[in-house]
Formats: sequence, structure tokens, C-alpha cells
Amino acid sequence: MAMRMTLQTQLIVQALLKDPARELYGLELSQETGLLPGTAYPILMRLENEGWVTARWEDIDPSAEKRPARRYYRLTASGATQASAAIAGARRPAGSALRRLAAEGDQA
Amino acid sequence: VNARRVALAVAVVLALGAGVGVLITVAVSAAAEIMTVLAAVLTTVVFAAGVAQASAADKSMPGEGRRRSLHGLLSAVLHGGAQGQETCVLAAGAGWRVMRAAARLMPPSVGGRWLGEAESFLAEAPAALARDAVRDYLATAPLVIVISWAAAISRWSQLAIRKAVR
Repeated sequence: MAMRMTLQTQLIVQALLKDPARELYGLELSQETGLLPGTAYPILMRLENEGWVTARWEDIDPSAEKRPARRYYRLTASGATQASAAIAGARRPAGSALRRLAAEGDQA
Repeated sequence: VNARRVALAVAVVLALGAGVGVLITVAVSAAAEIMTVLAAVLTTVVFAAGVAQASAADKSMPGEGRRRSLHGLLSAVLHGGAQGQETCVLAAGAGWRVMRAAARLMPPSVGGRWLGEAESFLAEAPAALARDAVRDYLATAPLVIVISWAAAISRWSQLAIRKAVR
């Protein structure tokens, strides 16, 4: 089944595609995409189920690091190929819509 | 005459088999749909109650009192690092309790992972971002509950059908 490429999905996939070998964790993904983690989670779950993304828990001692383990996400080799193709073929918002959004942002 | 009887018997058996197969498929998909609807209804009820309780608790506890009371909610891991920092697990408060309740409504493997990721995010995010993140986690939790149960039920029904075919 073809992956539904919503704008949020595209943002996440693009962040992961910047350097497919690099692993990103929740906070980094949130900073890269501007999405909040609750929104990103179901998308990452779907990407993982489709085999585009692989995830792993960081192997640390939480009491030594004084923080919980992070969960890292990375594109799989086939996921990177499929994601590039999907991004290339995905619908993008029209230029006029983006200009209107930018203008609204400036006014606010 | 015998050949006709045998052919008729075979046809009846085949028809019965097909009928039972169709009934099983219909029952499995109906059960999946009912579970999904039940999950959605349950989620809505729990969240309406949970969010109302969380908002009430949030308003009733001013500044320091609220901050102190939240320490009890955190896992032992976070106590050392979080004190005195502007990290956000402290800001999670009653929202964190509702998140734990929501995680219990998910399939166990998904719930544990969702809560673990949330805990990791909230432990490192700045306070303002963490407050927004908790709201976002709560807003999207029903979606995670429904899609994770739908995926689990679909997996189970596929396994059941495969076993029945064997």
C-alpha cells in the first residue's frame, strides 16, 4: 500500500533524508521539523510499520546519565529510496498558498 | 443415481464450507470494527474525564506547591537530574497522570514505548516546549490508541485466518 504523504509526513521524511545515515531522536526531530512529538509519533509508527524507518532505544544507564534513554530513528536503505521517490512525487502546497501563509505570519 | 448423489453431497459440503468461511471472515471483520469503535468511545470518555481532571488539578495548585507535588509523579531516574533545572517533566503534572492512563489503553508494547518516548522527550525539552508537548501527546493519544489496536486486531485476525486455512 502506498504511503500517504501528508505535509507532516513529508517534514519528518525530509528531516531523516538530510543525512540518511544519521539517527535522530524525538527532540531533534521536533526541532528539525517544528512538529510536536505527539503529532510525530503516529507518523513514525506508520513509517516503522512500513519498513521505511528503523528505531532503537539508546543503550545507556539512565541513572548515570540522569536522563531516560532516547529512542533513535533512522531511514532504512529501502526506506531512503522509497522516501526520496515519494517526496519527489508528493503534492506540495501551491506557491500562492505559501505566500498567503507567510503574509499571515508577518501580520501576526 | 449414485454419481448424482455424490456430486450433490460434494456440492452441499462445498457450499457449507464456503458459507462457514464467509461467516468467519464477516465475524472477524465485524469484531475488528466493533473493537475499533469501542476503543474510540472508551478513549473519548476517558479523555473527557482525564482532561477535565487535569485542568482542575492544574488550576488548583499554584506555583511552588504544584512544582513540589509533581516530583512524586516522576520516575526515580529523573529525580536527580530534573531538580533545579527548567526541564519539563516538572511541567507535565496532571497531564502526565492522564498520559499514563492513556498508555494503559494501548496494546502493552505500544503503550510502554509511547510513554517511554514521552518521558525521554519531556526530560530534555525546555519547559515551554514540554507544556505544549504534553498537550499534543494528550490530543493525539486517542489516535495512537485506535490505530495501535486496529493494527493489533488486524495482525491477530490475519494469524487466525492463516491458522484456519492450514
